[in-house]
Amino acid sequence: MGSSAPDGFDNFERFLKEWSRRDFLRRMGGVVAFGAFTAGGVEFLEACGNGGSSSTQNAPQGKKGGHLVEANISDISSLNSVLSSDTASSQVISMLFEGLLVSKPNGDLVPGLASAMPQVSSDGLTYTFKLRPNLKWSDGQPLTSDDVLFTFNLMFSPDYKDVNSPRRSDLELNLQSITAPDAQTIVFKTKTVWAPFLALHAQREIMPKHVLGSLAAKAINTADFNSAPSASSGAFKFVRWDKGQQVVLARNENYWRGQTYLDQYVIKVVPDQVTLTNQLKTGEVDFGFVDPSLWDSLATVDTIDRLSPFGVPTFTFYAYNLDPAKPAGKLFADKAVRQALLLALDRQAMADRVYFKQATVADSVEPPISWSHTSAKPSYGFDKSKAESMLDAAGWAKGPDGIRAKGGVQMKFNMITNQGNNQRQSLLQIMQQSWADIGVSATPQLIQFPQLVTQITNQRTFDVFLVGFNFTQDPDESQLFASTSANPGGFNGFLFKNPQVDQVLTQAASTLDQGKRKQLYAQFQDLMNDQVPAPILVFNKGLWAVSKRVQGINNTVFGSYNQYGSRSQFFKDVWVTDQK
Amino acid sequence: MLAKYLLRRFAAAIPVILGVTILTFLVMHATAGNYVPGLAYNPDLKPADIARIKANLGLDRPIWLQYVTWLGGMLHGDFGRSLIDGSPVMSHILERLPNTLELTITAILLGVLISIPLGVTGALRRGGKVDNFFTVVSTTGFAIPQFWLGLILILFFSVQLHAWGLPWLPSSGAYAAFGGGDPLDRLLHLIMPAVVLSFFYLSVWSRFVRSSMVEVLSQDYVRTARAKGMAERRVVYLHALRNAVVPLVTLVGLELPALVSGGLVVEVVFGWPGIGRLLYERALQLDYTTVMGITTFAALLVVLGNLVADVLYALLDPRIRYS
Amino acid sequence: MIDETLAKIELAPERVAERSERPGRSFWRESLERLSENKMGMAAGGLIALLALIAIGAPLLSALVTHYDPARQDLQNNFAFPGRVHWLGTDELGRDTLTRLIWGARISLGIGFLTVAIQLTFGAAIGLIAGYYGRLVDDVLMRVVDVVLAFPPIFLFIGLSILFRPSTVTLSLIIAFVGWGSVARLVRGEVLSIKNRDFMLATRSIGARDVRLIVGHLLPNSIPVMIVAASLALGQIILIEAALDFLGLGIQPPTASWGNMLTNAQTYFVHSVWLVVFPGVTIFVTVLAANLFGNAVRDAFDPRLR
Repeated sequence: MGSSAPDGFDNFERFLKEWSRRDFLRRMGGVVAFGAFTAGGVEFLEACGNGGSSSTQNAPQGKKGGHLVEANISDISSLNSVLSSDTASSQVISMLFEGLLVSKPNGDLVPGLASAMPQVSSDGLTYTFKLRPNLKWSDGQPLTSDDVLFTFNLMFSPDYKDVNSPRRSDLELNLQSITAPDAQTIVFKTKTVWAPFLALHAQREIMPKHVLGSLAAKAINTADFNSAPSASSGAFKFVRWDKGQQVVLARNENYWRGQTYLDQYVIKVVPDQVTLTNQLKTGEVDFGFVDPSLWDSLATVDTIDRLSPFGVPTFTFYAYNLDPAKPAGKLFADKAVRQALLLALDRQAMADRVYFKQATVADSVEPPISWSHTSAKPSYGFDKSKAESMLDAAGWAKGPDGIRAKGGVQMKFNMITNQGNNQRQSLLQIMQQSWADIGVSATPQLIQFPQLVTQITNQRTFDVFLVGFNFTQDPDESQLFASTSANPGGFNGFLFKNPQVDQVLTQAASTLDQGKRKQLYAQFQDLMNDQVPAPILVFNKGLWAVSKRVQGINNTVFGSYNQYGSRSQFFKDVWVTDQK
Repeated sequence: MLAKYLLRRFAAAIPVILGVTILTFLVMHATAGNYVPGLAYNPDLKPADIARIKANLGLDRPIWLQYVTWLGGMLHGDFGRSLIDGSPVMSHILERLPNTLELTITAILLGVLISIPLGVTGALRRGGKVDNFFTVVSTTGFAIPQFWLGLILILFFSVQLHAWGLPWLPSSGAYAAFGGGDPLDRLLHLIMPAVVLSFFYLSVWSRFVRSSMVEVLSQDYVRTARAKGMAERRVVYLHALRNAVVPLVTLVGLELPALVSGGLVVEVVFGWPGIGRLLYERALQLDYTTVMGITTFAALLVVLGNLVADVLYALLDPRIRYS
Repeated sequence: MIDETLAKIELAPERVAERSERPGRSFWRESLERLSENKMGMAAGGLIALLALIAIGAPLLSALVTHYDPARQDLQNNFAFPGRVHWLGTDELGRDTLTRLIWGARISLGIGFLTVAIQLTFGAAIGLIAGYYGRLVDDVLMRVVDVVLAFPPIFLFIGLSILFRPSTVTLSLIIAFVGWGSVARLVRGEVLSIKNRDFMLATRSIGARDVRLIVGHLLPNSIPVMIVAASLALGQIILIEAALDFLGLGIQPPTASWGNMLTNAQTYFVHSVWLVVFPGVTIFVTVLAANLFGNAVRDAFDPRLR
């Protein structure tokens, strides 16, 4: 089982988060909405916010009773939304809890525990949320703004610095204050206009203060609640976690949208993708993500439905080390070299053969499903002869051994990626071959995942690395491409520093005007396509299969931005035909 | 005499355990520097967060201090908490250990139960068809990669049988995700992994039983019993078998350390929730504390096993005892 | 791994007592004669030798016989069925399976032989020294052996394969590192039991130097034990290497090893079941042959038959 090494951090280009940046402004057009804010106030917002589909009313009538088994190749690590950051945990957390806002499959943000989209002040700095009335935890306690305040304080207040939340610095950097003027209201104030705020943080599942509030900060990291939540606010409540095997959930009678049809939901850990597919076939598992290599084999299984593949904001990219102090930096400093190397890659063949046609060749750094996506210029097809002539023109002539050289330096470098991921393994070898064909010697090295992360973010000892990344719904990609992220520990391990790009990214994150942002991101994508410091090979697709006995999981309710989150919302309406 | 010997060996075991823990610690820390186990590689994470969490977990203190702290805890029976999920390491071990024992003990039992008749038959009918078949089986078991055997069994007994509409075996886990847990369900899940694991044992042991049996059968006292006119059956089963099998016990005893980590590949192939698989997964994720806990625990078992083996060996040959 | 358990039992001490000097020439001659009479064993040994030759001649074979480079990809032709163009089909990147199996022999057999050599040499050296000098030296060395043997091997493999990127040489060193302890123990046991024989005391009393005694007397007496212990080692090591590949700790692609070919194939078996069959059968046949030959060697060199 080749891919069995648990790549618990991102499995096969798994999509991590469900945050959306598609807010209500989009439907109205930026300027109009902005004007409407200042004029219309709360009623207008409520109308916009609830204008989208509200799931409960549209659900078909189902039959009560029965269970569903989903499978994942990783086990969860923690059920505390403040602490966890891996996909497997997020998946289950979103079945147990909800946040102020939740995502629709297409990325739209809609109210969750909040009764409506937040009211935003005219200066764009204050967000006021109102909670739905009469919310209850599964143990009967009321869910109020105290819980919301508490949850965010865990990630923001200095009192809770000892809590190991990976979201603190983002909030400390950008948030001014959080207050709860009454039991139904929360007010967030940001320091500057912060466009990604709602997408990044407003979906954070709310944790119960009455359970965790009495604990000291340090104790929260190891609280029993994290592995056995005693109170939940989502469609299900926790029953038990058999470590390494499965998590069992049961219906939450107090869920505000109503009770689920399902009695029980189980998420089972399986060793690898092949086993997952086998168990879909035998019926041991009802629902799960399918590896591209196995997708076609499920077409003929008559007990299974395959959802239509949908684009996801996950992408696979490689990056050139641009540090001038490193030997590779000297190779890749010339933009023409970077572009030529990209031209020499047949990315369509990669999508067809490595992903079995279930991937899209990337034409820009933003995913095709993002509202910000444009077909950026220049574009790159597969042009081996052009690549060769570009390299010749840049002074890299082929030496007697067939390897290009310039000024005594050969175009020789290594490429790293993590062990245990079949697609990346194949991609790296294809890249090696493609580049060998044009006189460039690239040696693949497969290393363990922690090693890879350290080399990329800290030691920066690599020439080229290949990795997958899951971006949020917000088009802001500063984490990868801003020069501030090039500091030790940041993901901009390839040290791309471009003042123009920095400026565009900062401007685009500092305005709430969708139209303006779109323009800026168009500029951004063109800039990135010109510079290609880290070319994206393909954008992946979400491939899911579900047993025919399950009703209510389809492409309408489940898609790009809620694969691993915001699940309570539609799982409430999922039912099974045999009620077993 | 024996007591003194035991005491010596026991005292010698302590530096061994310490050595294991120190080596484990060093290897874990030498691998990836700033890596904080359990944090996903995703855009949320800022360097400041990683640094802060690292400090909270005590991972930024000097290595020797971290080790000493861990050691102090260990001496109080506290193996610390997993760096990935915060649960106590001891609870992880105690939860998974029974599963591993279930698997390895079953495999050992299967191995013994099959190798004895196989070996005896081979010895009684030396050179015959059965013996040749037996040689093939035993050398085969020694030659198949475990993970390959596992895959083939899964493909047939799980996928293919199901495709044909016949009763089939589940392909992973220790019990069914829903509605399982009863003894029959657990047994069904146990069959394939235990068979794969026992294949190896029974190859070794059946060979051994056979050669041991051959030897015993040629001993004087057996010839005497035959000459006295004892029924062949009694000769074989009463005298020879008993003597031939006793050394097998020693062999089985030597497998004590393997009880914990021997089934690792099988656990990984079949998704068995055991300790071997936990060690493998957590070591790859650099969950230092869990790994330290498991290796120490396993080392303790190995030392214990060696002690047992040494005692048995010493009982067999007084000359080998430490002077 | 060196089959310590079998060796320990099969060399029950009461049998050792009969020996009084180093194996004479007739012992070796007789043993070799016995070996050559074992048809199955010799055939198995021949197969191993053939595979070794194939491994050595890999570049020649891929140039002249199969006409493929083991790393040459042909994406449009991936998962090809065995046929005239590719005798054993192609893998997920369109590389010729037969060629890769041939080159894989270099890795798998190379690691096998190298590991056995290192294990035996190092283990025997330590065992001889520990057994001969006794007391403190013995104590210390055996504690070290205990530590090494107390580790769950998987942990060492993971740790070491993170620290040192796996290559033929590093893997051999790593596997040998995990296994030399058994050899050392066995050899030490041998040494202890013959150290105080009369002839030893006699030789010592005439002033023979330590090295002479160790190399000249103790070592030859230990060789039969080592042979017995090592007889099944080759097969076991090949299996270990394959298991390491399966766990992602062994030889990494694009270098072909039988183990990593098999591991890769398991993910893609729906596209080509041949990918799973061929490397698996190759490993199986090779290990079987190694085991059969090893058994024959052990039967022939069994010190009890002297």
